[in-house]
Amino acid sequence: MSEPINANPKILSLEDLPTRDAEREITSSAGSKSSILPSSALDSVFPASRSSLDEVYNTLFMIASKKDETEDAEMKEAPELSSGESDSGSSDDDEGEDEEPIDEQEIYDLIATISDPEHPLTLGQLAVVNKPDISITHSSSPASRGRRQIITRVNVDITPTITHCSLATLIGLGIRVRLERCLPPRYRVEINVKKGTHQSESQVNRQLNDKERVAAACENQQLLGVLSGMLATCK
Amino acid sequence: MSKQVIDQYLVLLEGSPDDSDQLAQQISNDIQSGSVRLVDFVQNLGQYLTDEDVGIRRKSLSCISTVLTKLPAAQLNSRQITMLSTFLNEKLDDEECLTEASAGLIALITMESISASSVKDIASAVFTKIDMKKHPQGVRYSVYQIMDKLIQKHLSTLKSINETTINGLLQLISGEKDPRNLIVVFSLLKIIAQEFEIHDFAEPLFDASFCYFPISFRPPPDDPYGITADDLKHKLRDAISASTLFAPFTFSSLVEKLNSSSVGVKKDTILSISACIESYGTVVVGNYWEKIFNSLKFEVLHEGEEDIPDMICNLLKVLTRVLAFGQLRVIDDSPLEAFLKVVTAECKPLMINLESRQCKPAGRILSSIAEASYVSFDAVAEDVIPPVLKLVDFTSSATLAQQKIALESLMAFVEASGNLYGWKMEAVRTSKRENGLLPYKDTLFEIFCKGFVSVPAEEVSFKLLALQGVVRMSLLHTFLDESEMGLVVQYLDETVLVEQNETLCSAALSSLQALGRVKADLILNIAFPAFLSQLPDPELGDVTGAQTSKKHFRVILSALADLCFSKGIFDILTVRLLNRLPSAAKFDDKSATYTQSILATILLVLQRNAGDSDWDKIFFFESLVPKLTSITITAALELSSQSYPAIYAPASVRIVAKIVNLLVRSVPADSQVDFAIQLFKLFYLSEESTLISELYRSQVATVFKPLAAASSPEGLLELFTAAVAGLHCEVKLPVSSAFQFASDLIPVTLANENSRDRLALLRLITLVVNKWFSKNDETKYLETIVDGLRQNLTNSNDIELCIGSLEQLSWILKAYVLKSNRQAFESIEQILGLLRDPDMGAYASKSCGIMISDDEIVDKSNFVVSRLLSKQSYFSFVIQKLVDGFNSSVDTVPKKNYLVALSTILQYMPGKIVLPQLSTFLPLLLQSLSLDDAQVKLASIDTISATMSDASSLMSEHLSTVIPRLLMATTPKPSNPAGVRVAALNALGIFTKTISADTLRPYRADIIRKLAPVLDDPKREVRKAGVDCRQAYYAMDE
Repeated sequence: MSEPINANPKILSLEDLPTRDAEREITSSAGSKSSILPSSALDSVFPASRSSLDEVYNTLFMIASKKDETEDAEMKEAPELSSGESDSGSSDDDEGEDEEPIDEQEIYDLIATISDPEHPLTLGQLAVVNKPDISITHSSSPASRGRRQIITRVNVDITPTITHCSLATLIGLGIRVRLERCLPPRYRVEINVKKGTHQSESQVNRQLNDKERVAAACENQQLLGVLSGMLATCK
Repeated sequence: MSKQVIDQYLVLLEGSPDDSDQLAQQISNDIQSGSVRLVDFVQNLGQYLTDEDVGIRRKSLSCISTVLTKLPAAQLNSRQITMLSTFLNEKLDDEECLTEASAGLIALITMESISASSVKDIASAVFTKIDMKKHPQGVRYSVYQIMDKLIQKHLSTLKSINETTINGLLQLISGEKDPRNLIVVFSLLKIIAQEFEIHDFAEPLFDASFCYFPISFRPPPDDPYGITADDLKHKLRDAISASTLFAPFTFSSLVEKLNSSSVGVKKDTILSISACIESYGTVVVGNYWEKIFNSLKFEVLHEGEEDIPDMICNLLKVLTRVLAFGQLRVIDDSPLEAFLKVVTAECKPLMINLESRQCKPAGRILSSIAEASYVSFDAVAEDVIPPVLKLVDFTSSATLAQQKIALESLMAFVEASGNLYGWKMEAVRTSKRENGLLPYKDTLFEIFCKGFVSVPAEEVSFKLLALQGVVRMSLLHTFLDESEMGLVVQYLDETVLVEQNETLCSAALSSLQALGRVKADLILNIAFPAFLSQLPDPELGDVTGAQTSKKHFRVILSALADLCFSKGIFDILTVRLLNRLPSAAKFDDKSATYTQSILATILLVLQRNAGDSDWDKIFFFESLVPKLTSITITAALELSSQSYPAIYAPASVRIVAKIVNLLVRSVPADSQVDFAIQLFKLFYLSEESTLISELYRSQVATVFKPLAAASSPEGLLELFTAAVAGLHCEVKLPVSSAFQFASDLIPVTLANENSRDRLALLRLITLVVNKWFSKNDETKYLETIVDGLRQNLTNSNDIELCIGSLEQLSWILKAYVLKSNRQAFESIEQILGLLRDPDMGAYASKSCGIMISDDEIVDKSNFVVSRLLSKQSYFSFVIQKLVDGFNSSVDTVPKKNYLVALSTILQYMPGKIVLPQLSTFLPLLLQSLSLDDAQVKLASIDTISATMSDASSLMSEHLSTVIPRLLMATTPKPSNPAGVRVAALNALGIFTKTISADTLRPYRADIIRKLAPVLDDPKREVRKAGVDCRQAYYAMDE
């Protein structure tokens, strides 16, 4: 292997990378009783948020229900899937409730685990990809068209480890391929080098957002091999 | 002694080695007894020994050798030995018979009366007559064996012909390549180097072994000798390090090998240098340290591959230790002084230059050297610690990232001092020396405390480092004093209670555990009060912990549970928690969250330590079980002023039941006898029981009749069942007979309308039938009770009675299924028949699952009798009937019942049972994927995933059916809840690992295309599974 272009990059500790966990609320929010309970080791012996014990019991272990609903509940109450052992209620009960939209953290998680082409490190660790440099904008189309039609733009600014990094294009291409594979077709991805972090900024930007050139690059078997290696570490 | 015997031997040697061996034994016996003279024996062999035919010569020689081997060591006199050895020495010329001759010589060498001159003759014969290059490895091996024996038995004789031996051996071994032979060669060389006068031969001897360095041997797959590369490396290392006379060659040759591009070779080299340093000793190493250090430092300073820097630091530690050996202080002009001077001169400037990339590695080198000995620690610390301390006063201009590197270097010294002067957690420490960092303690402690407290919250890794720093300092032997450690505990408390970052929290928590292990007082006096005071106190109107700065009580409680690393601490915690229970329950909301969380904390700790024999289970059994039982029952009966509903809320009772079960089953049978009596007094006989506190004992006895019809309060039988479940089978139930007890419970159960109580009763019956029934009881019960229930099913028009009877039957049959009692299968068949019934079918399909389900109470951990093959025999009994039933039914409803029954059973079946039958029911399984029932679908997908790796070929045939159905299961709709969608995506993903790419490729493009909508799924976990699955298919062809 040839000498790396930047042999000694700055590396972030894994603990310093943004995660979804860090955002989770662990204080009890101002007295509201309906607030979701925080996760705790107690969940392993007995989750507090279990809605109704009796219900689970009935469906799991019992056939008769002496009360009344035998008629209509007949077929619907097929056995619960969780066994009595694990006691881990399935998450199905919250079905149909809150939608979890794609947010910046999700985009970050998708691309931060891509490997750098020349170091055994991820783009997150090398701070090539940073959460504040990711933005999502939903175009304000008529509400009637429904969520599935709304065009959404994702902007990712990358920060090369050094200003003359010739691999910036490759990294950008990797991010583009990853996002195009992982985001719904209604998402439009734009990738730019962060302002003032690269000598030939505009040139790289043009290359990264030119459909024809990206498509051509993806035809190149050798290049595809390198990309595949970069994406193999994605979690 | 006749020639016949010898002829016989020669013949036998060909066909049956065992017999020939016996014959040799016989000859040797005859020689011992004197009935045959050795001379006659040899003479009789005479003509064969010189026969023209190689085979005969070889056999006859083998005859002599084998007989000699079997003679006692004292048998032959010196003259006889000389005669024989001379003869065999000559035979060494005969290249075809070398192995046999060697065996004979080896036998002679072990003889007691062998003369020195014979030994010398043998040695020189071996050296002069044998040309090793002509022989295969096996023959060479036997020659090495001669040398090995000679050196072992006659070292002094060989030393008297020093030069002959060394030269002879060098010639003998030259060009050896066989690994088994090399093992012997290396040990021979080692002994020569250690025992012989090698001054004039140092270089050739060194070359003889070093020419094999580095070992690149890889054992063949079925190596008969089982020699590994490591065996060879170790033996070679021993040979090279055997003599200090090798030193001039060793270090320069080894250092050269560091340039190798192979990491393996580098590692081998480092270990070899290290071994030589240790073996050569202080004086010799004093001449070579500079060369060693200069050639190694590069790999550390420029962060070499893998763990090479670590290995080098270790080596430097060894080097320092050897140089410092026996020195109480650094002696002027000693190699140690010079060495330390050179190293610090080189590394110190790097270490205190925080902008340098080599700052951290330089710190590592210095701390490794410090760690090696007291003298080096003092010298290095005095030189480098003060300037580094000056760098981190937090007012300097260095940025945080640079400060962090300085802290890391200091951390390395803290670790080094601990390894050298001792940690608190080590049992006994002989070192009486004070920690070498003591002079810098105050500044050091202050810096790390400041680093932890004053750095902004988002600098997680910095804070983490500072936290680890103060904790490691606290753990140093005789370092921080009591009040400083108290301060550390307070920081940690604060972190656990306030800090939002999870990494920091868990690090703080585990640090508290570590500190508590060395000093439990810290936890009891500082951490406990701090944690408990953060729990909401309802008396103060603080029900949910409304202050936003506080963490939720469940987080705090689980932290408290984490701190219970010893029985004593847990004992204190339970007392404090139970004291809080009434006030918590008084104001608790309807779901009793706070109350049950407190109880769950106790359960959690008990569960974690269930298998730990250090925890005195009997103590907690005797104290906690009556206490919790009494609290629950008196509250439910509303006897005391503190009978708050939250205490007997369903969730609270369930947790108490779990605690009781866990404790009961963890004590031995003889401790359970009286408990069983008291238990039945309480729940069954309604008599005064010691399980209830004295104050309420008589009251409870009069009003508490849980088994009576329409008894109130409801929902407490769970406690009874949980306690009975924990009893050992040999503890007799305090009832007239188990059979009668189980029969009497039937009407009680059928009449009970509270589902929790009924489930408890159903389980109780199952337990009694399974654990306390004799074989006779089992048969009788089937004929009476079970038969009665079955008749209800066939004869009654009352649907409720039918359902109740079916439920009861399922649980009773479960007891029989577990015992693999086939008498029950007739009843199971009746239930399978019900699957066709339009009214009862759906219930019957559930029943099929109950009979085999894993249950937390009816479980092996509660001493339930469970035969090894019980699941298997149940499965093979029902599966064909289910498949046939499905195929022969026309309507959709019964078809669905069969599918539901199948999937219900499958979720409890381990893969290895399912697998052999998979081809029978796979079509059914695939059908159930298109049902609307989410649970059935999930069970089917799980079965597909679980059996995939073993049944990939079978699945390959069905891909065209499976894949579209799984894809259908990934679209969000009510019958595809998130769990199903994720399972389907994961199953698709597994295909890429288990099914050959060629088989799967036709589906690839379609799968990738159809997975696109999944990326827009409303649920994050589904999108994640979709992304991973899609990536797996993309990666297939790349």
